[in-house]
Amino acid sequence: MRTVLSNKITQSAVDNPKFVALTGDHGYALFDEIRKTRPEQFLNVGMIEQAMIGLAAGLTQVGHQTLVYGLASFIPMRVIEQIKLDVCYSKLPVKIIGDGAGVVYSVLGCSHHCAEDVSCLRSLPHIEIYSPGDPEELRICYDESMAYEGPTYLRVGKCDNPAINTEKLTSTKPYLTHEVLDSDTLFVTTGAMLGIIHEYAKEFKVNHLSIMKLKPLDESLAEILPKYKRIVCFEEHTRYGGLTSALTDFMIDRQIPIPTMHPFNLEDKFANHCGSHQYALSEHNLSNEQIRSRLSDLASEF
Amino acid sequence: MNLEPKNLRKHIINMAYTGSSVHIACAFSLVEICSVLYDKIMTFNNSNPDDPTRDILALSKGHGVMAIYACLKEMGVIEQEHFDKYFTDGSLLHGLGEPRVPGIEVLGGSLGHGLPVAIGMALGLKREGSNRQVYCIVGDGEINEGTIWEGLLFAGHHKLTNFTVIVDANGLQAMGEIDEILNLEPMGAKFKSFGFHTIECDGHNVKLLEDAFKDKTHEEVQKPKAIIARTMKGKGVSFMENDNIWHYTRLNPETLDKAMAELQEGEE
Repeated sequence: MRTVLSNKITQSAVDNPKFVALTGDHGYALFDEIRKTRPEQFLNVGMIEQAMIGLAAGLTQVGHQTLVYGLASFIPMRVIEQIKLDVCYSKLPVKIIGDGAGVVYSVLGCSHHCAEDVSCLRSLPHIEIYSPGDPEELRICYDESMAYEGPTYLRVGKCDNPAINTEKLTSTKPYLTHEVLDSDTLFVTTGAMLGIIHEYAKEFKVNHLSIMKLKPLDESLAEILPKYKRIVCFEEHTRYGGLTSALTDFMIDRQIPIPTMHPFNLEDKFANHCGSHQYALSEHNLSNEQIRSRLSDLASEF
Repeated sequence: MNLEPKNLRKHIINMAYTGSSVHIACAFSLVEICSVLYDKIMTFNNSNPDDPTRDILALSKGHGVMAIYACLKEMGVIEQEHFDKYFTDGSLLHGLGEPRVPGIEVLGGSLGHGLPVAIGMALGLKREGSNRQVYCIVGDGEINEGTIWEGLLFAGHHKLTNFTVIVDANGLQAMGEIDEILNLEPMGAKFKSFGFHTIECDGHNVKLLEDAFKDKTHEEVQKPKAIIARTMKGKGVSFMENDNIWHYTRLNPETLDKAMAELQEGEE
């Protein structure tokens, strides 16, 4: 994923002389290429994350194309008010990337865990939210976000899950990675859950839908969702305001009867102990093994 | 067009009375700063506030926005009807600066936001080789905010000679004296140490302000400029001067007449 992101950022600099990538002293290897080939279009502002959002807004207001990068626990979490007032208020096309979302930086602890970014940003007007799950989803999300005339947030999570897409995607619309015509169960994932849940969908012989754009949700869901009696949602994000919330909000707003929902998500708590990414997920009953076990318990419904 | 400070203060009083607005004293302390900038210093096209060749005045201290509104009214950028409707339902002008209003460049309601945005504009203009200037007014109370120091550090490091920050140093913040709440002195030394060419002057003396704005030393030494304008909250109406109650108090018919009488003193 990071190679795709690095290449994309460098390509944006090549395509537009007014493109500037800003970072608050994060993303060392990610920016190797742009630093080497387009150093004048890369700006490490220092650890001034809050001012960095303002700087990006000001640069954008006078005609530059800006991309702001940080770890999700800082960008957007530390700078949420700056995003709201400096960027979203004026619908400035500042492109925000939050890396390491979820509990990817497991051993670093709660300061670097980010379970709430989508939730916070979904409530801000004008901003679009992308949450890709493999390199190809990242590529299309990046391209669409750059083309959007307003602010965007690109949530980048765990990088090393199996990639699903071997062919080019043509849009960020929700798509089935696995279809079982006689099943009325739908697994829905966003972001890093894509690869593992795709495997489980095959194993449990149910449908699997990937949603990489969380705001706004694509209208095609109004036709897709009513086809299923139960929907199981998977996200490395808190239950509040993430994928499950977005889907139920979507159905409520359109008077679509809500089917049985089974949310799989980060629980409403901070990490207790240190450990690997899978260990950190296990504290939320969300490790690969736990998900499989929980699905087995539900399987009689499928 | 009459950008005389007394005239601007009359507009502010009328507006504050119409809208039953607070923050009168916050606006009064920066009247001369705004007057000099628009009248003598800035390139600004009154018939097109979005003119891409304009200089930028970013009011980070949004609480003083009535002083800017008063200037924009005189310049014909904001029409009289909006002043007649101040704070009525569905009206244009909020009590803090918002950039949807013609001539307002940054959102200044939440303190500490406008300065980094203004510095971003200065950086962008400098990268293009533009000679447009960016001016940003901050309050001394406002510079409690950490984002101010983040921004100043950046502007100093990047030697943004097209950027001037003006501190409306009236010595008071919402709930009391700055010296008592969170001391900022020696303010000039702080700005100097952050890489600014720093000038301190009487912020109500239009001649000294004009000299400070026109001073080009900062370009010779390749630094951004800071003007610490020593001002007085409520300046211009005796019973408001240095009385922090006028951060919060609304005018009534009696105080309106009294304030206007002072501002009209000596006129025909």
